[in-house]
Amino acid sequence: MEISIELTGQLIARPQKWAAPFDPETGSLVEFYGIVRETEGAAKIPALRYEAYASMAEKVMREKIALLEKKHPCQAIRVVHRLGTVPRGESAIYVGIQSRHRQAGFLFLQEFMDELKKDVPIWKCA
Amino acid sequence: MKVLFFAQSRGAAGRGDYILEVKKPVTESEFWALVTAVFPALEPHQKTARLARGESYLQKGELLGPNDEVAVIPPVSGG
Repeated sequence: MEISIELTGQLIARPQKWAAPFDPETGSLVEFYGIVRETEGAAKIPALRYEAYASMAEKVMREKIALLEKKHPCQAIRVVHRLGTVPRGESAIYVGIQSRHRQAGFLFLQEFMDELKKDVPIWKCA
Repeated sequence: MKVLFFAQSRGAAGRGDYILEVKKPVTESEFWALVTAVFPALEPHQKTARLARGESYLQKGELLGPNDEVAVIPPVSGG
């Protein structure tokens, strides 16, 4: 499985472009953009600030991907998480998953995001 | 032992890292006793933060050695 993980201070453009050609066996691309809302809890906010323990964050994500790949074999995953200030309406995270069929991609994405929110050392600060 | 602080724990410690003098391996609770003696504001974080050693979460019963790099990881909230 091809794995690309990027932690960046730059805007996550929508739509994202994949640099490398798709795997010839790819029949599905499932994508998720996490977007900063206008409200955080009860407060209206202009932006969120994200910080990370970057090296551990990447390591934990790779461990999660390795485990999920056994349950839901996929061709490729691309993760981009923005750090620093992210204004409302902009993307804090992009995850794209190539798979042979859509079900593996949907399941992989759902479980990857659940695991990320549980264990990957990235924090948002209002 | 090098201790790294992130997010709310960095705010409580008032710094991102600290060299903690440790002469022998310590348990997780011994670590917290040592670190909160230096940074009392970290005390509430003991209940919620996890520890990582060498970029892996500490498993129950594992000890922390004098040469370890230990990170204090408050509840995460990425994505």
